[in-house]
Amino acid sequence: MPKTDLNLSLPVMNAAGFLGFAPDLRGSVDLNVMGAFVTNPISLEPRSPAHNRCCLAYPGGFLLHTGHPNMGFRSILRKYAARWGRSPIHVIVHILALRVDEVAWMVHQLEAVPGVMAVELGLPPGGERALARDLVQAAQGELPVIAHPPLEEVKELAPTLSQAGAAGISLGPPRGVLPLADGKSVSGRLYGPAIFPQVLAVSHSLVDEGLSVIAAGGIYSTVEIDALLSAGAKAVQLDGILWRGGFDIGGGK
Amino acid sequence: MNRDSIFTMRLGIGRIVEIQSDVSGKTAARVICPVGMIPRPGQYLLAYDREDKSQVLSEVVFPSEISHDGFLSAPGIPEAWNVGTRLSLRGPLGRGFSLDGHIRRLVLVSFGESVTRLLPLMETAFRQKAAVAIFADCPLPTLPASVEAFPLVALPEALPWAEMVALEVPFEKITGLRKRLGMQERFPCPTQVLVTTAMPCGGMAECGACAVQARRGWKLACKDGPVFDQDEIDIW
Repeated sequence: MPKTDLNLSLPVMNAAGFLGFAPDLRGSVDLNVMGAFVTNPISLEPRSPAHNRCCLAYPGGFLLHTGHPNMGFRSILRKYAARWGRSPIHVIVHILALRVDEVAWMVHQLEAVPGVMAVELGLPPGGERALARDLVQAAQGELPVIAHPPLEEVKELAPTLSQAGAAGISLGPPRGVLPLADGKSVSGRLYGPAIFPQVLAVSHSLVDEGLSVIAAGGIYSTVEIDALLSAGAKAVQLDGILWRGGFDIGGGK
Repeated sequence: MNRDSIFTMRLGIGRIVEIQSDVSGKTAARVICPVGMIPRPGQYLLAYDREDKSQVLSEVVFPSEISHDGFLSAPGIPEAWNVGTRLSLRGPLGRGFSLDGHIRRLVLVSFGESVTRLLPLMETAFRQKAAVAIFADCPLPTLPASVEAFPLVALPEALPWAEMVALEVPFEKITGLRKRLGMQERFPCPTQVLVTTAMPCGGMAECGACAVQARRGWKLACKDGPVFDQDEIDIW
């Protein structure tokens, strides 16, 4: 498969972190209506949960702070690669991209794993353009690379990421801060319908620039899916709605 | 594109038939639901109001009383829920309490704001003719006359009496539990710990929001728990 091809049979998938490390054939989500499965974020080395991990709801959304815990790339490959190979839908492996050499090595390993159709590179917040470019370039190989910057940085980074070889840009969650009852505060990733207007605006903008966009954030009904696909997004990723349930797709139109 | 429901039939519908207030003013809901979805003591459901578009995550709902056609939730349900509210349910989820049939003296301990999540276990104990004592510093609901209630400070003295201990511990109070109890060693009898914490994914994603430090590595309250054996997690 040419590395720039990202062929999806259906334009709906999950966002990284919302359905685990491998498709659950007996789970509560019907995989047949999804074009691909995106794994939880995976780092080269094991990561423990964040010390102040939490999930805080606020009007219109929720803040999630977990630290992306995972058992590390090698252990995950040992545990889940066979399930990826047996998956009825293609698998997109989400890699936490921190260092160029790590990314290159992990992507190279994934090229030999059956069932893996693409790599999604979770870019670190901070918006450092040169690092983002280098990470995407390091991931170039036999698999299409989807760059995944935070929403608030995507407009600035997207042209660079595309030039570096990204087959698509998926919109990562924006970050925010909420106060805690003890006077401290906690930062984390933001999800929920409140961010959808930003997602749609950014999607329009990126499509206008000729970029291949996988839109994510705040999708809670088919109305939002239709709006994003009409705006030219190649696909959409579902997040919090998968946990809440009640995505009545038939009733949306 | 054929866009039928993305969810399979492992979900169900419940209906609120009664709203109650507990001693602290929090509300609980009596829910009628399919028999297969009724949680056992210590298990939970994820629930959301199908008409409430503002609810962005499901609510974690524990039973405080179990009946043949549903359950009474533990207090703390959303204010918008009312009699007649139709709930979309997922579950029952997680590992609940396990009460051996030979247990005759059960101690229930709550370090949280309520003992209600432990009460279904009390009902199970009564059915096997066990005596029950409760230790908590929070307001207590009306309890059967046979149940004795004590403050937490009295717990260490009661432990030699107990054949089993069931604790409810909020996540943020796990660390240093032994010190707070003035205990030097593990509980001397079979002890199970219900850890209450946010469980937004309900075991779907291993998201890590409910991760609990285990003796070795980490465990997830949403699917490995929320009830753990005292030797599984680091409560000391």
